[in-house]
Formats: sequence, C-alpha cells, structure tokens
Amino acid sequence: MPDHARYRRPRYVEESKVGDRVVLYHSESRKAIVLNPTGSWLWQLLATSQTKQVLVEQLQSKFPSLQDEQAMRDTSVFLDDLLQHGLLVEEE
Amino acid sequence: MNRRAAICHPRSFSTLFEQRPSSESLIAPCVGCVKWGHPFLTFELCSSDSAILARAETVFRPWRSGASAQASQRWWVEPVDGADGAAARRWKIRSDGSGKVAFGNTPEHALIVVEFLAIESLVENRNGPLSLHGALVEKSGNSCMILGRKEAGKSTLACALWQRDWTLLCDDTTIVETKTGRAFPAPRRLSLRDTSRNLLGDQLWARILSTPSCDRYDERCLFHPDEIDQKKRPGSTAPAALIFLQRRESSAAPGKLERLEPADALLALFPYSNLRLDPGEAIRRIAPLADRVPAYDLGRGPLEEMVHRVERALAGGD
Repeated sequence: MPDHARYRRPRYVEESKVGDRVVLYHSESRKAIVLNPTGSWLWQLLATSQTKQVLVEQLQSKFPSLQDEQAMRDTSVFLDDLLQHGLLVEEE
Repeated sequence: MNRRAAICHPRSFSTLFEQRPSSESLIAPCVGCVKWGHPFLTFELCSSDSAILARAETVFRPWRSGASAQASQRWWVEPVDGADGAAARRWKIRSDGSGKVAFGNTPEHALIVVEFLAIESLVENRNGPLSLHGALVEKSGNSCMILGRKEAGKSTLACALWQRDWTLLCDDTTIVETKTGRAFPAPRRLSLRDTSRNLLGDQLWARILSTPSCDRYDERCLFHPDEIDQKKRPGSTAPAALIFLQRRESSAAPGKLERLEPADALLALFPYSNLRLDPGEAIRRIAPLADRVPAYDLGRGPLEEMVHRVERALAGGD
C-alpha cells in the first residue's frame, strides 16, 4: 500500500446509512458489510478520493487523543479490509 | 356450400347455427367479481358460481374496502364437472395474467387456493411493495412486527398477545409501504396450527371453529380474528418495534430482549423480505424501516415472560 496512493469508492458499491452506521453492498459479489461508526465516518470522507495520510490526519482531528501510530494502524486496517472486500479502489 | 342459398333453407340454417362455438356461449353467464386488497395492491376473483362469490365475500371481507378500482391480479374460478358427473365436480382456478391453472375440491378449498396464490404473487413480486414474513399486532396505536423463520413461534407469540387484549392483524406476512413506513396486514386469514388449541384453550378454539370465515385445512384453522373479538382493525399501522424470534445470530437470553443496531436490523430483516433475491434493492428499501423502528432479538423462553418483554419494549421500558 504505497503512501502516495489514493483511494476511492468503486461505482458498483452502494451505501445505505442506517443509524450511525453505513451498510455497503457490493452489487457484483452481492455481499454486504456493516461499518462501525468510525468506519462509517471515514467512508463519508471517501466520497472523493483520498490518500491514507489525509485520512489519518482527519481521524486524529476527530479523536485528538489518538496517537500517530494508532491512527495509522487503524486507518491501514480499515483500508485493507475494504480493499480485500472489493469495496474500495486504490489508484497510483 | 353456397352460404347465401343455405341461409334461405331451413335445414341449412340449422347447420349454420350448429357451426357457432356452442349454444351456451350465446347466453353470457352471470359473472360476478369480488375485489380485495390495498390501494397499491388489489386482487380480484371472478366467477359465475354464486357459492364461490358468496364465500369470497366472507373470506376477503376485511380487505374489500381497501381495494382500488384497478386489480393488479385476477383469478377466474369456475366449477368443472369430472367424468363421473356432479360427484367429481371441482373448481378450476385460472390466473388472468400467467394463465396458470389450479383446482379446488370445494368452493372453500378453491378460495383457500386463491388466498394463497394472492399472497404468493405478492411475495414473489420484486417490483411490488416490500413484504416481510412476520406477524403484526397492535395495541393503543402502536404496532409490533414479529419476525422469524417458519415455526419460530410467531403465531404463538402473536396469539398470546391477542389474548392480552392486543389486536391481532396478521400472523404471516406484513406489507410495508417504504415511503411512509406504514405496515399493512397482508390480505390473508390467520392460519393457526391445531396445536395452538393448547394455548388458546378449548372454549376459544370452539368459538374460532364456529366463525363464518373459518376453514379447516391441512391441520390448520383459517379465520378472521375480528369475528371473535369484534374489534375494528386499522387498515395500516406505524410499527413501533420489530421483534426477531430465533434469529441465528441472536445472543438474547431466554425470555429476554436484546436491542439490535439499526444496521444489523437491516441485515436481519433482509432474509424475511420478498426482495431477498435482489439484495441491493432490499437494502435500499428496508433501510428506512430499520433506521426508524427499534429492533430486538427475543430469546425463546416462557411465553408469559416473552409477552411481558414485548409489552415493555412497546412502552419504551427496554
């Protein structure tokens, strides 16, 4: 996962906001996934393509007590999970 | 044959008459129709058989006033004599749209078949309204949907609530108007298994069997509960709680309620919907309901305890 990579939502993923969570539906694999509230908030930021660094900074501004290392790890896990499920596209 | 000449000749005229489809078709049978349903979903049964029409009036009475002028589905039900004459008489049911044919052995059986076909057409129609496999009960303007797979105890819990002065609207399929979130009982009689007799007691069971709408079929009793409790049913209600019974992922203790996250409720509702073959559409259409209405898992436990929990949930106590 290169640092300069940008991440964006693919066209075939549909989202539904329910309560404080977002349900993502992959219309090709026909699988759905529920994001937790923080993941749902990050997903909203991905309405436009973002770098991991921007997401980390945004996360830290929302949770000021979050250490750099923890913010980077949480963001990486989030992006990896979405990429693995085909719910995110990585661009160079 | 020279047709012009033939018409002038009595015998040939007779031949010409016989060439018509049949003498019976010259006299149109007196066909009547009974409509039922909801403004956005109307069914119609047509027949020349007065017994069928009279029975249809009784069976579909609660949903007669809600029907719109235009039927979305129509069935023709006509008696047909078998080779053995009247003893083998059956009632042929033909769907106007698909042309599919089914048979009933009696007028009552034919109506049970039409009633089932109407629900089947509702549940299988992915372009139609959202329907959920669940019971609907109401008290003081608040309604509760009870969802669960087959034999999860939906009817049992619904009947137990009915006995505690709840209004039992339906026990099997509930229609949800996505735009307004209103829940409509599907136009089908209650269908209680004979084993429900233990819960309801011999006296009430006997009363049910004597109601005008009651039909016995396949160890079940189909009837209209308003013929027992004499309560006027609302055409639709605003659901205040969704109760899941025996959900696979449930961790609710016996007789206890456990609140579901709205997003989890959405995914839990999906398998009970008529849109389960189209998950994307299902998620879109179920999301507002899951967002708006609190959902709970209810662990299977003593019935009294389950009833108490549902009542507390509706009162906002859980």
